[in-house]
Amino acid sequence: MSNVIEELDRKRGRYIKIYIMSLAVFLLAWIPHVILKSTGSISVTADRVLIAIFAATIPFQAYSSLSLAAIARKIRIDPALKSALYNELYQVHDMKAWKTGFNSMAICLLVFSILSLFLRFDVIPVAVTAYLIGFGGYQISFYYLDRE
Amino acid sequence: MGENVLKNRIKVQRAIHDWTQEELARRVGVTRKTINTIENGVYVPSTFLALKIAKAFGTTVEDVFQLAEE
Repeated sequence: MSNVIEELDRKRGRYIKIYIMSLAVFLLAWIPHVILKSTGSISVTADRVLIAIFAATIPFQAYSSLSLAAIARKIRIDPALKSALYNELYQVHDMKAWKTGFNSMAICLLVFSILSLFLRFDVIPVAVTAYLIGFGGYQISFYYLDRE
Repeated sequence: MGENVLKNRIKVQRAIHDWTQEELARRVGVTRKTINTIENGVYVPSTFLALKIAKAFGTTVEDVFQLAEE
């Protein structure tokens, strides 16, 4: 059982790392795309390149998210795994990470609010960006708190 | 007046019992990472977890955890 716990803990960390890295690349292409699109100054080539970059990260994000969900399900159905892997240190890190995620989302929305004084944004890309930055903030914060 | 910090003797107790961090984690029901962060003073455990650690060593909480002035 002890080996299973440590293995799942390691796997969880590894998939979070894959998710964070793919999300970072996604956002590096997504945010300039949203801003350039709203200014109307994006060329056809830049549009295609940025879309290709952020689309290429989607399989990695999906793979890591589904793997994390599978691990979470495995942990939830086993009381021994649940008590070991959702222990109090995990809960403290989870709570701090939620706070960071919320603050990241709030800062993102503040930046877009200021930018909207000069640019015209569509609501959906801004909402998606805020959500992704909030969720990404949670994952990055949890990863750094939970690593040794 | 100096600030109080929580010191622990987990490493000493582990050496007495010849346990690895993983063995202690298994007996307490947490991950090795949790034991490691407590042992290194990075994380201050709850009373419940401190009691479980002391119980695993067959000793009192005061013998494992002490308040010290920094």
